[in-house]
Amino acid sequence: MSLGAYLIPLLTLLPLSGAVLVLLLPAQWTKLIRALACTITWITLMISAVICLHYDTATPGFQLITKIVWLPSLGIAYQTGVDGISCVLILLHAICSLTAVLVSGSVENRVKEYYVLLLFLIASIFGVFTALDLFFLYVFYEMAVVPLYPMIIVWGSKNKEYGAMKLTLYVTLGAVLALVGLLSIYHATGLKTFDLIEIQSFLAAHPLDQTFQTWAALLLTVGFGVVASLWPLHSWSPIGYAAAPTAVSMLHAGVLKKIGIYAIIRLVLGLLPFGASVWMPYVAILAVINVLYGAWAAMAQNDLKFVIGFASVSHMGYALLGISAMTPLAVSGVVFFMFAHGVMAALSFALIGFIYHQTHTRDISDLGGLMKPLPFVGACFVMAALASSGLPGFANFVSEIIIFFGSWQVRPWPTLFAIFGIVVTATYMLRLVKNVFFGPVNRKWNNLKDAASFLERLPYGLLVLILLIFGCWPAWLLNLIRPSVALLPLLR
Amino acid sequence: MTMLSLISRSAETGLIIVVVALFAARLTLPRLKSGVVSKLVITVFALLFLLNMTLWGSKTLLLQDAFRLDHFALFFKGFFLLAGIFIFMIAGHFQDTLAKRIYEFYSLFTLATLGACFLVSANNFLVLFLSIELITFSLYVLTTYWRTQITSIEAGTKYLVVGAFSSAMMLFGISFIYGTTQTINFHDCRSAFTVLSAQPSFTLLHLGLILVLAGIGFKISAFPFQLWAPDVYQGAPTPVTAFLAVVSKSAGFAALMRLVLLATGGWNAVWILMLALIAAATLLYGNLGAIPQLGGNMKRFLAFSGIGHAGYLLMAMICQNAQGYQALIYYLVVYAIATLTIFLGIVLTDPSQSDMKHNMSDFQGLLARSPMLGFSFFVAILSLAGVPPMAGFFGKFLVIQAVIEKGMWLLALIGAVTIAISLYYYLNVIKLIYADQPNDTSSIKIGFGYQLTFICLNLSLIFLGVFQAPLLHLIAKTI
Repeated sequence: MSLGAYLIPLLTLLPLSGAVLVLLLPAQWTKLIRALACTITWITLMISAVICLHYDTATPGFQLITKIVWLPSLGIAYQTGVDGISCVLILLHAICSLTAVLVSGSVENRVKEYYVLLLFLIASIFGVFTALDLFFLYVFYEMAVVPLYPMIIVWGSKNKEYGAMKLTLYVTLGAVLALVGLLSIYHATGLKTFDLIEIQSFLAAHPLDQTFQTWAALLLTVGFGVVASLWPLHSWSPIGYAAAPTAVSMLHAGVLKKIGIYAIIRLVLGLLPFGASVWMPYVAILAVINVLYGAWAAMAQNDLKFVIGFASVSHMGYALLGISAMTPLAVSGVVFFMFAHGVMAALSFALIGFIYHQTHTRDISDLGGLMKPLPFVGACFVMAALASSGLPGFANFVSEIIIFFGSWQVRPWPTLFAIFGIVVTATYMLRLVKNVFFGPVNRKWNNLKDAASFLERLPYGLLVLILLIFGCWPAWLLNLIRPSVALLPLLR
Repeated sequence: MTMLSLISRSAETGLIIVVVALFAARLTLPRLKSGVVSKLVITVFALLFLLNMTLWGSKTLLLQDAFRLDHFALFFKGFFLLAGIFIFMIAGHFQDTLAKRIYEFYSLFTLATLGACFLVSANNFLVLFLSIELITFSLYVLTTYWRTQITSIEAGTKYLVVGAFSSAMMLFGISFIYGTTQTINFHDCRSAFTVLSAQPSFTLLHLGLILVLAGIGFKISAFPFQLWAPDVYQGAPTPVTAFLAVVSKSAGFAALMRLVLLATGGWNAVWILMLALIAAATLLYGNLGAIPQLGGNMKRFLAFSGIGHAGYLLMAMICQNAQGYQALIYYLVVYAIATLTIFLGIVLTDPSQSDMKHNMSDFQGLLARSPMLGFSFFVAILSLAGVPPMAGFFGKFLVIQAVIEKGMWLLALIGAVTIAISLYYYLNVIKLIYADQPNDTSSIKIGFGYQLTFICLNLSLIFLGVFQAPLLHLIAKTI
């Protein structure tokens, strides 16, 4: 086992021990706590970058594997490792975590508890993406849901108690359905192990009974579909994001939502190919509804966060469409899309958080002409809006086009409708930009302060830069993704 | 090991001595400070726990096969003694209001614990019945102990009526079993069970067993015998409620396991269907019933959530294999730790002990008033809700895993969905403690001993949730 393999559990352990350390520090030492959180997320970003660079695309299976036997009587082991798909998601999560911690500087009350929960959330999500054991994958997923509730009800805004409860209950309901599905796979293989690699190679040789696959795939697709905001189980998402504090919206829309897609790729497409082929045509139809309904609803909103919330529901439709096509090209596109959309969503929520902190309103009708007092933030927002509407030059364009190429042959009609969604997206995004940043300046916004210092500008600048870099040079990420996706049992 | 050495080291002997000593002290030292008594009793219980553990490994039948000593019995005796220590700590906070009657209060608790210890060692129906009666009779008095409060009297009366009724049913059932098998011994009953299964009198034997199970159903508050629980939990003095929720309930489940393992040759499909329906109804009743209690009384709320937990325990019971029993015992231990944490937290939140009502609103903003109490509630409630990394999650995981292994899909799905339902009301309690503004902003001071206790309880909930292997290994030995 190479030394690099130890880096992967470190991604989870570092923020987790950070959370425990902050818990033990006195609450008054807020500066130290903030610095600690920044350092930890900075280190995890470095580690993630090293892992991505270290990953050997010539042998595209799981690499850098470590295994600690945990509970042999049930076949549970803490096994970690990455393939091309999880590499990309780890990098995404590291970027979003760092920027989420950087924009959390505006949190003033109960600072210590805030950082404990935030670091716990960050650690859990790293845990999900690095776990190669079904038990730990599920445990980390559930652990990621817990801190959301207290974070939203204490530091949230607008109808926060309702939003927090709705979000937590929907996601948990999906999770427990998925748990039944996971346990049924565990018993159906008869291997008495939760080891994902072992289960994967066993199922490749001995596919499970077709009726069983059908039901298990339904449980897993619906269970993880909830967190990926599959229509009609999406309604928690805009309300939850509107209620959540900025960092939670960023991590949830940017990363946590992707766990749903990631789990469907890994577990449904990877382990139950027949079951997937039964349900994916229906998922394609629901995905189109996601795209069009989300875009339509976003158009009618007056709250900035609701617009972005519905936009994210709409965008997840592309990812679901790509999965439903089950072709290597489309699924590679989905993984790239998760990265691009994650960065874009984090950027949008971070900017809205900034604006809300300054103006204390998110009503579009109240805002207007903000480009003048806030040139930097305004420019970033315009970039985010253009990325969101799929303008060439941004990573989102590349990923969407790959998804459409991949899904066109298998699901022509849904793809056609989904492409139409881009037009609608461009409509509401550009209208949003016009109403908030251009037009006549409302006099009360004249003395707003723009992000001026380097540290204030860093999170937004970093996210914009990443969108542009991978928009112009997608090859590096795609080279990571494609060999690993090719190993999945997909249509050829 | 000689019989004398076994008997002298058994928990029962020690507990009888404690009862006698308490009565003697009542007569000779009525003016002893109640705090001293409480500390003495706790120390003796801890010693008895250690003494009990020295017997670990012995496996024998005593007193003409009436009394069975094995890993299972010793494990549960140790469990009851530890739970007893925490219940005395909860009661210790109650001692000033009791003043003079403290000796009787403690000796009744000791008697009830004695009954529970006998129960897990029972090897025939007579000992089973007598030890259940010993628990119940002590609890009749204990529930009415707060005699100036009308609610306590009401609770005691309800518990008496329902308890007497269930005891009568159980005795009636035992008479049927004796009538058909000509024996009260578990082992002989089991052989008769297999022999008689071909004959028509089999139905009478089954009727007897159903009546016995109904009697135990009252103790564990399983549907449809759960109606007493909310009123009694609410009205009884808080330490007594804790005893009902932890010791009485686990004793019932231990007796149920013993009955199935020793006295019957396992259940057939009809029985399993019946019990699966009971488990599902218990789950739904408890978890849906807890929702309207939000904003009401804390103890009543815990009664409903406790009924829900009985549903999960029954789910594990139905599996009838080592996996299921392991899940059941793991769940019981974890449930007991979380419940005791909450009850200890409840009495400490209301130091005046004015009326023992414990309304939900008393807990508003608890975290700001006492970080230790708030954090302990946070951990214990998340554990009850089955959220990782707390131990409650792993208990639920084991139960659902065992049920799926048996192929009972629908039951597993109901169990899974009720987790999400239960999360609704548990999160509301978290909100109450964590985010709401307190009515009374005075901070709560907690003694060093209690702080230490809370740290131990919290750490054990997290430890058992993360490192499940040691406890599971221990439990595997008891089956």
